Amino acid sequence: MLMRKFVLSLFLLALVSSSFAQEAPIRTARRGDAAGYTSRDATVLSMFGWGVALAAGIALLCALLVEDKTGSTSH
Amino acid sequence: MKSILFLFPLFCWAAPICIFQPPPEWQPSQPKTLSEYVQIGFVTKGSTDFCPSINLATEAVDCSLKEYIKAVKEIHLSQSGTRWRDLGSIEMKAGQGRLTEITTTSPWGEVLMLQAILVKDKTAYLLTAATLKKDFVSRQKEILTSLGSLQFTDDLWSMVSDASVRMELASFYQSLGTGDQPDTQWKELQALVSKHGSALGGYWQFLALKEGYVKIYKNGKP
Repeated sequence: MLMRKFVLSLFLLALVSSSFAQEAPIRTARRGDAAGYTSRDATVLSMFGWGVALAAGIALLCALLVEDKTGSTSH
Repeated sequence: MKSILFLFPLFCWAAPICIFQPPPEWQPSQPKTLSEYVQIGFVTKGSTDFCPSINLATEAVDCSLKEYIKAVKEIHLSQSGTRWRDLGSIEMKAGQGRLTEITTTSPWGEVLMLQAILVKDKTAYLLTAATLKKDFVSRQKEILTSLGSLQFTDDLWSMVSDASVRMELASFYQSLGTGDQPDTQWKELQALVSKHGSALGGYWQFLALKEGYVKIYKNGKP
């Protein structure tokens, strides 16, 4: 059990590190970069997403919106 | 009449809104560690701690879908432990896109991702769904339906099928930002979107709330 937690922690650390390591190239993005990033993002969502989704429905959408009100547009 | 003609170019330049329907009951989620390409993500409870997810991303491009897919292939195949396959065309409401499959590993087992890609007006639109491979069969139908739901609309209200509801929403949105009780309007907006938006999906609701929020709190939330 302890070993499993250790392996899981290492995996998460590696995944997050690789995300940060690849933050810089966004400024000089290659064609197709979004596809690479979003497949990693899909994995991150799947691992952390449910923990973030503490509320449900409209309440959660509002929480995301208020956090992201200065964010990008949808298109 | 002159004022209408003056506004005409604005309507011509307004970019269409890209929208999709996540599977019903999936909850929105947006961890801060996601890349700037991701517009929104949705998750649902899985058989393990690894939840099925879907996210919408966009990227400015200067190439065709064929050239974009070629670049995507190179990127995925350069990552060790990742397998990539082109599954062919996918019919989306917005037009014909390309469906690809990415397989990778995780502590919970093999992860299977489906990525639907559409290139339109110098923008690549990507819907990426991830599940554990062992959960895929039970999720396949709702994921493929969601991937195919990607579409463009000039305004959010035209997607509301009931004409009276459409008019009610349009009229309510016109009134936003004019009163002196923004918090009351914000609550009314949430109730209205919750009442009429469930059939249009979580992303439509998010965009409808966002548009209203900006109008209500145009001078910033106190």
